[in-house]
Amino acid sequence: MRKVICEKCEGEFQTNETLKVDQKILCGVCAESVLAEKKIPVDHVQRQIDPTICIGCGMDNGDTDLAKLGQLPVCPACNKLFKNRPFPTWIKTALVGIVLLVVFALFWNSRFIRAYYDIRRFNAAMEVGDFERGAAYFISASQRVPENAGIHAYATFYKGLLLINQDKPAEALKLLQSCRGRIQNESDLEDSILRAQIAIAFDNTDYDEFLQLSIQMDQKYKGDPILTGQVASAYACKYAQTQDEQYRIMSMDALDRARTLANSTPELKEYFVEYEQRILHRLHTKEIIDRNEFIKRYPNGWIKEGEEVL
Amino acid sequence: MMLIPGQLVSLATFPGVIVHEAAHMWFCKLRNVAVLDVCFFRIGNPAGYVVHEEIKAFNTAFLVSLGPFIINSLLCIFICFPAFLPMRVFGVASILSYFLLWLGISIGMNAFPSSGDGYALYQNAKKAVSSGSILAILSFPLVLLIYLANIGRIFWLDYLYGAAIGLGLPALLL
Repeated sequence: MRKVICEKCEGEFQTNETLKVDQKILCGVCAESVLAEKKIPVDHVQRQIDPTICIGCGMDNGDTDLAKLGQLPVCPACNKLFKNRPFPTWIKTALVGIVLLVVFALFWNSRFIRAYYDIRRFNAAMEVGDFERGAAYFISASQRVPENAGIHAYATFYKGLLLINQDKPAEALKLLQSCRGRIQNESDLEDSILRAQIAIAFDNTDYDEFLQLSIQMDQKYKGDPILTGQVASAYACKYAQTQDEQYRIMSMDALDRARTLANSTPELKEYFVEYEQRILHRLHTKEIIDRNEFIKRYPNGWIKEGEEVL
Repeated sequence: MMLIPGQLVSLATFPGVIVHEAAHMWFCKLRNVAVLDVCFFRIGNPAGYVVHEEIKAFNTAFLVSLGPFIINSLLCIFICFPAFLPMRVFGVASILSYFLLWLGISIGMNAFPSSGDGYALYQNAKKAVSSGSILAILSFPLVLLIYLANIGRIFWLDYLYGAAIGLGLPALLL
């Protein structure tokens, strides 16, 4: 340990207990009084460091200077510690704990990740118009996250639409009606409910209801050949049921309008050919059969005797 | 003992303070800088510190100063991610998700280098700029940003940053 003399009080002090203030070596008490008396820039005040005392553990090396780390004297043991200071065990344990917690949380919440990708696949499928595949993904997302009321409501809506496509309108109607007030696009929902009601009316041979609802739908979306064709279909049913000539005329009139509208695109025109055959078959035979039965009976299309295939 | 708001915030986000200091220390070890003293957390100002030997190489000083920004930000994203989908996308809350969000955002909040880190970077950049170090030149605006970010803490900029990278960034990436 080295000692120095305070230049103000002339007392002897350990070097580490003194400061260099404005180039003068002072003890702590004198330094405080000098600093209180006049303003001295901070960089003119330095703590004195004894080169024989380790700054880490305070080991006294007698009168021999210790090796320096930067400007600071350190003993070999502290030098080793400072250069390779280990992280405390609790820090390492906490880090491992956090990693394990995150891995556990990812596993625990994996259903949300799967649901998220289901919704992305739903969007992709809907973009290419593959409703059935898209709806299946959305329903899967809803099953994975049943807590989300919004997703559940839309999944119910899509389930309803799928059931309509699968010719199960009664089941579809229940689901669709349960969606009222739970989804944002009420207009689409009401249209789908109407579609289900039309299908139910047809299945129940309630052709008055079938006709009334079909007209309602056609008036809402004027210019849609399928909906106008549906009105022709309903009139054809009424004709088949009553043999009232006015229904046949009205059916043919609606069919003419639908055909004109369908001629707007090749796809619609192609689709409408089969639709028209069914209605003409109904008008000609007065027999009401659904699409599946029609395709089963006439896989190559139907023609009135003496005419060519349309 | 009376706690002032800054200390209360440090106390509420203590995991972030610990990670901040651990990141300083980790970069010191990575660049063979002797660590003289370290305090990972305490009630006081500063809430934690790392005392290291004087750094000669500017690149090392740069890494040691900005280490917490890198480590805290990455850890914030990593920890918040499992809670992001349930909370943000599906609106499903759970104790686990809340805990992860607190932990992640606490760590993200403490990503900003402190004013002390900024000052150390400034001092080192001043010395290194004479040798034509591009990184040193680029560090001056960075130091300004560090000071502005620290002023922004008054307006919860640190919290906004933590929430933005913990919850906002995954929304942009997914």
